[in-house]
Amino acid sequence: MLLSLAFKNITKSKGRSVTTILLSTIATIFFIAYVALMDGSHQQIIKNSVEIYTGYAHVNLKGYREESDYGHLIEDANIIDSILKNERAIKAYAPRFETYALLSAGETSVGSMITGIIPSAEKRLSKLESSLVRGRYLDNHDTHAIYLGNELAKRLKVDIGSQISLVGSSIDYSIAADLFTVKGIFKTGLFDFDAQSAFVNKPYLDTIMLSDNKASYFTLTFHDNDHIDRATTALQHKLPSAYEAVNWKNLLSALVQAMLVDSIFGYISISIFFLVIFFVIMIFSYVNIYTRIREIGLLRALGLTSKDIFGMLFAEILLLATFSIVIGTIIGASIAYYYELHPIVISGIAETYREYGVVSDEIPTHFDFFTIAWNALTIFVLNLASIIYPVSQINKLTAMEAIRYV
Amino acid sequence: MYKIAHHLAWLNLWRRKARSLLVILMIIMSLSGLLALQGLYDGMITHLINTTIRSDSGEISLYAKEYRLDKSLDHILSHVSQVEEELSRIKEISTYSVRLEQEGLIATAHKSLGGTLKGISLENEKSFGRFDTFITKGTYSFGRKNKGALVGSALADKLHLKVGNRLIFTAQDANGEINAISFRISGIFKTGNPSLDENTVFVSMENISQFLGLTESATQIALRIKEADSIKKVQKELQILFPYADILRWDELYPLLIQMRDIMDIFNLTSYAIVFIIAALGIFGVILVSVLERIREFSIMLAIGTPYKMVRTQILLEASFLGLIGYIAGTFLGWILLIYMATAGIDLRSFKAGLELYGYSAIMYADIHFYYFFQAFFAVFFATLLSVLWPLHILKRIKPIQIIQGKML
Repeated sequence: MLLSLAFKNITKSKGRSVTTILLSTIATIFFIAYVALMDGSHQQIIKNSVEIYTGYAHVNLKGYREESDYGHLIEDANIIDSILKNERAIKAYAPRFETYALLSAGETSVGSMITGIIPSAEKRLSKLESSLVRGRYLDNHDTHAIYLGNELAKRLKVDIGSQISLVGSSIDYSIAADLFTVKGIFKTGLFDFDAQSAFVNKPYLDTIMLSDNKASYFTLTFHDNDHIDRATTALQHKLPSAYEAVNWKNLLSALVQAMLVDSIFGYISISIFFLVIFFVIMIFSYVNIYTRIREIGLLRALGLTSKDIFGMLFAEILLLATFSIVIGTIIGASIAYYYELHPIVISGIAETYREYGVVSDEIPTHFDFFTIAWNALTIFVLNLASIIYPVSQINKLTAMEAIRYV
Repeated sequence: MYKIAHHLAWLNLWRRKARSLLVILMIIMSLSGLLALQGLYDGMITHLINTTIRSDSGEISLYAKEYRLDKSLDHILSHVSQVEEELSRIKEISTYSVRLEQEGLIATAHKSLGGTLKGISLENEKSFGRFDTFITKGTYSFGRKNKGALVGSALADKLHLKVGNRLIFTAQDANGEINAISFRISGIFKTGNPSLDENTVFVSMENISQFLGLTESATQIALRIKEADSIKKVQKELQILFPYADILRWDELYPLLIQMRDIMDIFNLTSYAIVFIIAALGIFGVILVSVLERIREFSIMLAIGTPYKMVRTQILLEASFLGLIGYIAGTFLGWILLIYMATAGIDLRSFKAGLELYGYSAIMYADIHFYYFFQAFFAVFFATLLSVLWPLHILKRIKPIQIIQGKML
């Protein structure tokens, strides 16, 4: 009976019903689309950083991440290699040797990060090969070949075929120097990375840096990177105690934190919209209930308890909220899904925000059932909460007071 | 007549106290929230701009042509003392800083990184951007023999450098020869400008000039201008005086900062528009019901000869009172929040690494501008005006006698 009364009231108070449905539907669509876009852009930035070079996880000697010096190298890379080879959860892995050296060409010299990589293995771990813009990618037999970021090539004023000298320090702290020929130039879009990085075939770099069978760390990717915490913990148990397995959440902790702060500010900004929507729904509910106060008084006089009245009014908002949130969620989720498949393109955004790690003009949304569910649930709860004050006020009145209410 | 309308409007407002208070509360909450956010977001951008101006660009910077495209010692400003003489004649310039920089490799005994060596005058930088206030460890000096160096905090962290440690800088000099020079660290600075904190070592101008084999040379001369209004005028004057140099304002050097500020302005205006269109709906709901409840009352007033104008004034005043009370209380609360955030700041040190990655301060301070309150006033004013349009339209359409007789609208 209460439900049918509630339904009748909804159809009778068209103004309030339409306003509540419209506001709740728009709020739901807006919230879902906003969060999907915010999460999508954050994930894009993190994904680019992970997939372009960093990798999903590293294995390194404990202390390397803090010190990252020659004193914390993996001294016997073969041991780690054999452990990783037998780990089924790992899809691909490779050692890297990172150092800094002075690269000079003509009268220009730049301090750069020089990394020794296994070219064939890196193809499965990073986007170095697919970022090639000129020349060719490294191969496993290269000796004096160097693969440069396009911004670094610009700074050094070199192109394919140019000679570059390297002066650095080998792992015994003696001077390491050699001449290289630029074989390829890459552009990942990560501005700082492209401006500072150069790659050399690791076995050859090892001969210069005296780092044979040594590595700064192993980079790796799992078959299931969605459950990376579990995979990293499992791997940790198989490593000797002096080593650690660290996933991208720790490797890029500052970036992850920056995205988190951005999300917090995003939620604070959007909360003002919801606050005002909450008040408007509450005002409309309040006004609507008070225009029906005599009717409610009559129902009380006929024997309905204050609980029944609460039930009836709650059923009204429940029906309105359910209807609008279902519609809003369908539309919002469709938007999130569509733009995940067909990202929004804002021409020039990558160039403008390159220092912020934006490498593409495409901004995808992130479609996630759980996120959409809690977004929708938030608006649903807001709707239900908006009725509490008006109902508590009306239930304070006795049946006679309500009937006589002017 | 206005006095009666005023009195009636005020009394009617409190006839349904809870209803009116809900509307006022809605305006207070949304307005104070918007003001606080606007101040905080503006404060974040202002911090970035101020840090950049104080630590690097000044209001205007001079570079040799092509230097910014090709940072080589082939493109440097020479005869610096003559340039300084010209600059000292321009009264709008309060101070300037002459800098000479070269990229290279910064190394300790155990580790090396790419970085920039920058020659400065400590005295000039102090008056230029109070650089001494950026020192977090050690002293603002280049040591007793002027051979010391100031290192960026992030760079010091990466290289595990402490005050008193030595570092070696290797780079090409003006003749193309690779040279190395060693410095003892006398201080560590933190400007909040990531490019300086992560990459830069400051040394004395004499030291770097000698190391690079240059005299009377600079890669950048940054200027502080007394009045913001005269920046463009000084820029034009300098372009005539130094046709061989690039004379760029801070907003031309860092267009991203201006874009961020513009985006924030658009965001703030859009937020006000959306929030107050929705708020107008809330005010509208209350005013409409208030009018419909008293439709017989208004009909009697109109039937006995009260001009429609007076009824309209009464409704307008009712809505205005709601808006005005909400505005006064909302701006007061917003102002208190802004004052708190501008003085105590918001402590986000637990997100320090993430914020500093993009140059934001871990303790954020809000800006307070007078125009915030004007903007808020117009938003409330338009929301109020918008909310009474339909109720007034209904009142204008009614046939008073029929309403009095109990016929429906």
